Amino acid sequence: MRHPVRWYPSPRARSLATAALLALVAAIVTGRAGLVLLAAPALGALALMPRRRPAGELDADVALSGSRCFEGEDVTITATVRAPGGEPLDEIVIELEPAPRITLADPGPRTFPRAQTATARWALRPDRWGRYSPGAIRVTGRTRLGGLQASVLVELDQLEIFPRPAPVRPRLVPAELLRRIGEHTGRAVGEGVEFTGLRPYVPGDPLRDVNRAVSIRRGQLHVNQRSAARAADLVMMIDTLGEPGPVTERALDVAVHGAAALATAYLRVADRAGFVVLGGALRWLGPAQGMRQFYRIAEMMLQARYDSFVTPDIGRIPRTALPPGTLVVVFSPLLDPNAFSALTDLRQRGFPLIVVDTLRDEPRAAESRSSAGTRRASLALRLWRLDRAVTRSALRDLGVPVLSWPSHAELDSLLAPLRQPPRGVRRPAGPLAGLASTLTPPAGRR
Amino acid sequence: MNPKRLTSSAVVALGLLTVAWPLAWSPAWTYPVAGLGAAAVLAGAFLKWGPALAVAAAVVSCAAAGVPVAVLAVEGLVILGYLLVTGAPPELGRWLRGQLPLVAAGALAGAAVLAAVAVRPSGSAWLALAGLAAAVAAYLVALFAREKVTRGGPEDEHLF
Repeated sequence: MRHPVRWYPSPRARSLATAALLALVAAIVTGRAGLVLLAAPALGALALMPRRRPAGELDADVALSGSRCFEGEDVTITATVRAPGGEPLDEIVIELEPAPRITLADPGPRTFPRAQTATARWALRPDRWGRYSPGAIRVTGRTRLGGLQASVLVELDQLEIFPRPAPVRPRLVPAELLRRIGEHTGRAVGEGVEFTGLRPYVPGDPLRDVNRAVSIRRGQLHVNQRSAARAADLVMMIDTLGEPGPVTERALDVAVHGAAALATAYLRVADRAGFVVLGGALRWLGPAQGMRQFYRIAEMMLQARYDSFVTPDIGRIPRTALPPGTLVVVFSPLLDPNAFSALTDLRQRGFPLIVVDTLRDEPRAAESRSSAGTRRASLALRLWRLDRAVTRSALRDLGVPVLSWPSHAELDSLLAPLRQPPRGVRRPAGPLAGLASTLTPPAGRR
Repeated sequence: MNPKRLTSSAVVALGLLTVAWPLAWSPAWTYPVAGLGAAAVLAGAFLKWGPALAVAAAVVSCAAAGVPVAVLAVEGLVILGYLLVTGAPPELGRWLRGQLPLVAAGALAGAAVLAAVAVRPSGSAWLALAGLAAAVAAYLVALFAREKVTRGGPEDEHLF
């Protein structure tokens, strides 16, 4: 693409002119003609630089290797510059100015002396999810023995950077599974692989189900029974309510990574996953299968970052977004009372609900010189903690497990206490014991 | 050696030579000025006006001392070399060949002035003043033609 440019004296021409002027002033002031010798070479070089300006446009094309990637993936940027009018430039410098959240392996400018066409490549790595431009390419051309210079800044296209999902196993499923073949162990007897019991043989049972040991011991044919393998529905909900700021931003970051991890895990095993964004205008995706659904969810996550001034209307989450019996995992910092009322409403509608607390920051107590000020600050912090404890306790009273997600913990280990132990194994006592009555474990993942 | 480091070393070496050489003939009070010039050379990578400050320090040292005319001629060439190499790319090979015309022009101009000074050491004050005024005018014209970066990008495609 051609960009109009204006050619100006380069820094080199300016510094040569400055040096010559300084020497001439010194010669006049001191009255020593010999000091003109200091200026003469600089003036001679300036005199040699042609004054005619080249064509007023620079041809610069910038291409990205892709428009989508995951966090930490390399994206290649190729910049091609062609000199105007086919006349080679003395120097072409191509420089990538990366955006703040971009890592460059080799960030230095690429210089091409005496070139008509120059091509430069960079491999950049986005460190943070979102939809943003990874930077800009600055092209500087110098001509006429370096005396004239023109620059053009080419903004790069926006990249869609999806959050990188952490490995999670799809262990949690609702008690009532769909009547659809999947990989989770249902309560009903069926054609799955998980052993559930024995029963006497009846004509028509397949012979491969005969349990020889039991049949010999009891003197009568017995067959193994297996659980039905069923699929599950999971809806991730992220809470973007609250004042915009670094705390909310970090909480959203945690929520998006958690939701991406769960979506990947469940969609990989033929479950259906959906997504709801609480905050501003209600945005939702009904549960669906396949990796295409993951990308649809990821694109909706990218939209969650933008601030909205729409009054949240979270009391009307449609039935298509949350089919009956869906397991709902809510990632919320539990800072906004609207989110609490939405959770209460969901629980009262009978959805099995898990809340993951994404807040990892506490208000910093303001430093005060007086001891009374320090006391008040610590008292305020205690009240804030108590307020949050009340919210969590109220949710627990509704039968909603609330899990804190510290930065050092993995989501998989965080959700592990909610799994029900295999039948016949006593669950260890703990703060979360008894909270997961609506959840059952899948087959073979204990 | 890393080409980038080699170029930086050449810039610093030429800059220090520019500042330090006239000190052999300079009085003691010019040493702090030369020190400032040396600091400007070392900070040249970060300071936009570093090379100009270093050259100013060298000019002050030369003006304050009874430096022989031949030394001034060489100092002028060293200043030219320093200012040229300041914006050099890491790979010096092809770039150096491109600078030869400038160095040759500088050497020719220096030789011409050296010859003129040798023939007639003193000139008319009015002539010198007119020359200075012309130089200042040319400098101001060059200086105030400021650089303007053109912004382009994908959004330009949607303008029409």
